[in-house]
Amino acid sequence: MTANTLGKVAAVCSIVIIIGWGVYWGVQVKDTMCLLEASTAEEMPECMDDL
Amino acid sequence: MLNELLFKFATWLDGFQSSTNLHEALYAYGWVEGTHVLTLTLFLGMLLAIDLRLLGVAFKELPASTLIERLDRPMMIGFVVMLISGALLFYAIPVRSTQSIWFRVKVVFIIAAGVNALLIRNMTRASDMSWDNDPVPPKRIRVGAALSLGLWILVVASGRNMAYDWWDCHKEMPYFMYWAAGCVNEMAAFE
Amino acid sequence: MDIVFIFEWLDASWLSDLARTSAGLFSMVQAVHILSMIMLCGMLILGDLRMLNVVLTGVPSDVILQNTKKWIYIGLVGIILSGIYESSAIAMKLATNSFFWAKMAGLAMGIVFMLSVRSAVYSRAPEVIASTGPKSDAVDAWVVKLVALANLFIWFSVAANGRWIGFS
Repeated sequence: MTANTLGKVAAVCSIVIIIGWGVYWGVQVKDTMCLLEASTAEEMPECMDDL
Repeated sequence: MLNELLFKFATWLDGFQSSTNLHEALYAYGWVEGTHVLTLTLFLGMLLAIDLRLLGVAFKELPASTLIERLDRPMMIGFVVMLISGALLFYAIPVRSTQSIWFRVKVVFIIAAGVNALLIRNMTRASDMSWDNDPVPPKRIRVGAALSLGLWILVVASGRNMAYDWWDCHKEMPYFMYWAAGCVNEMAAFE
Repeated sequence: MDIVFIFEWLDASWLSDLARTSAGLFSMVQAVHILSMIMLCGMLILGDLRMLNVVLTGVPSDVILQNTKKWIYIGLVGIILSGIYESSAIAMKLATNSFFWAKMAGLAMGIVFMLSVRSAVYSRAPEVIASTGPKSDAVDAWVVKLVALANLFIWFSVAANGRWIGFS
């Protein structure tokens, strides 16, 4: 594999990981925090609508 | 007497609203604790690299001074974060931490590791680093590095054990354990 | 693909009995897990920070990367073995824990990424980063740094998910 091709493949992989995994993980953390809030709050927090 | 002092100090800290807030808030304590554990990889990771070189087990192609001097900054950044997050964790639950035998043991090991680090530094300065390019440093340096790793392993293990209540004050223990952990109320009520 | 049966098997195993019986032994295994993380992630961080040109700049990168390899593998073995032991104690709870699965996904991604893209790109890093002498066929410096950031991010997520398992 030439350096040029490797560079392109590596860049695409890295960007997909940083953005893709970042968004997926971020949503998971947000939802869990929302569930935690809901379990301890008296009324349903607004974030429950987005779950 | 020291136990009384520490208990008074911890109880005083416990009285602050911010201490209770930090302990009882939904996420705050978790974030601080997570930071404390994850920053270990930076702080002790850099230290591991230095100690492995001083043991003559890794990075042998590099002068020891290169690793010591150049990894010092990231290591100390990690150490400062560990101190701050550790202090916050202590502040959130001051009484239980003060009366935790594992916390006391952890602090002793940290101090010992600090003293050991100072001794290694003095040894390296005294020797003018004549062994700097040797793949395997002199025995005294290697012993110091091994001690360093051993002590920090004990720090991590003690920190981990703090979560368990095996020797918490509310448990029935011999008087010596009450004294070692600083359970002042239980010591007074022992008879 | 239904792999819950692995967790059911683990849950009923002698390993699970041992893990649930002795709290002292369990805490020691937990300490091993944390120490393995320090070794694994510490050495990865050292390599990635070097390739970001943040630490040990000017020191030939292949020396750093070659030396961290062995300890990365030792840390990986330690973390997996201790992780299996810890998991056996709460196997069925983990089977339905989304952070556990996220951690495993991150771990798999991290291992594959480290062995493939990271390894290939770092070995072809340009002179300005690698300091190993002029190279004819090198990748761009920004690609090397992007790979370093991606690697740091994956492993950070693995560690963070590990802590989140405890909170969820």
